[in-house]
Amino acid sequence: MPLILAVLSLLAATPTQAAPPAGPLSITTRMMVEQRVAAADGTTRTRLVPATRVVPGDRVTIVVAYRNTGTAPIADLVLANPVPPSTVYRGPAAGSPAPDLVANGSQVRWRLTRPVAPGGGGELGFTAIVR
Amino acid sequence: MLALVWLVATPADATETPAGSRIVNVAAISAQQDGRAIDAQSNRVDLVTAERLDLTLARVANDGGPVDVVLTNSGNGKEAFDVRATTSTPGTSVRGIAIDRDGNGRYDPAIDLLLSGPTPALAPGGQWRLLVLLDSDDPVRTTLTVSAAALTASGTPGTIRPGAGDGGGDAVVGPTGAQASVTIETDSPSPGAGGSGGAGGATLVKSQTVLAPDGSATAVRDAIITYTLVARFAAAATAARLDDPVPAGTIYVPGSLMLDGAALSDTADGDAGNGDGRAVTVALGDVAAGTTRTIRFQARIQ
Repeated sequence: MPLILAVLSLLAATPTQAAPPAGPLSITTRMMVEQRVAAADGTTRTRLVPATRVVPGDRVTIVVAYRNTGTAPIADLVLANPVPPSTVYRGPAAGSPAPDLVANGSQVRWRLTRPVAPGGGGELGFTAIVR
Repeated sequence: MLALVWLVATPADATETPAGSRIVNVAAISAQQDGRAIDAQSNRVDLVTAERLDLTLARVANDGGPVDVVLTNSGNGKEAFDVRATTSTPGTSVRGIAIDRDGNGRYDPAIDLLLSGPTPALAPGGQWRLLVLLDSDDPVRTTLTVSAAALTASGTPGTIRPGAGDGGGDAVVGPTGAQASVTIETDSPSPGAGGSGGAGGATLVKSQTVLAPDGSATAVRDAIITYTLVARFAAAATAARLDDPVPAGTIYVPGSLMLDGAALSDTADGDAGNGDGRAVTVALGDVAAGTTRTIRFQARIQ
């Protein structure tokens, strides 16, 4: 029963707070902050790590990861993310396409133009500043 | 009239996210498949805003009054502060530090809060005027250092105290190090306050003693506060007049107004004094350079 096993393992991998996917769509979100890392050659670079503590003025990167867990391609996908209250939208995250809509700075939305194949997915993100 | 002068500090930005607020994120995805809508909600990310500990201290000009500094809680949480003051001059010591609750630049035991430990918690963006009281009521030339530090933590910016912030979040020492100090050279006498119609060069020093019904110096109901105002004129002044409001929460004790040890009537009549219950007024007239006049009156705490 490979299909059932695959679904079970997917459920187990879903973060505990996530609602169980009712359909073939899965979405997870993470809130990240930049962390400076000193490299052995003396240079400093930044990487994103999960946010554990923020104070006003900090920049957070909100990442949404989506996946087609079904068996058929899915077209016209729309991802919507309300900008959390007490943060201010700044722009797309590094490497992420810009959202199609930033409604009053309170909602970020991406509309995917290409269908997502079964098992396919991706990540999008935006940055916001804690007021 | 002798005037007290001070600067009004600009309130800090109070729009910051308060410590302890939760920042929550939930995303949604939707599509059409086979003619029907499909959608899903993401997990919920829930982050508690940490408390950034910051403060500023600034001197306020307060001619003739005690040394006056404004403490601003520039952090984003409610915070209490440890405030200390030291003086460089031997024989001069700091009697105490009081929160000037009515903001009039003068220490009044019936109203102002003499600190016996850390301050009460101050809301983010909130300010207090602090009066530094020396053991001498006379103006002295000394160097005062006033310092304040957040009670939760201070020191190296970025220092973290897990769980010590408002709402159970962490507390983080902010860019100010959550500490500040100001060094103040006090002058004697200080110019700036002038008699009306005359040149500058007058100082006014107000002090008070408290006598409670039980004989102690506790500021309780029915305690009598004796106020002493010493006006010193470095330069000659014409038509000098002193107005001093009777502090809120107290009532003037009728017949208690005195000038240089002599009683003055309370009515606006032939003598120099006038006490109408809300303020005392003493017309000092033309005064020569080097003159010192002492006014005394009493008020009862309500």
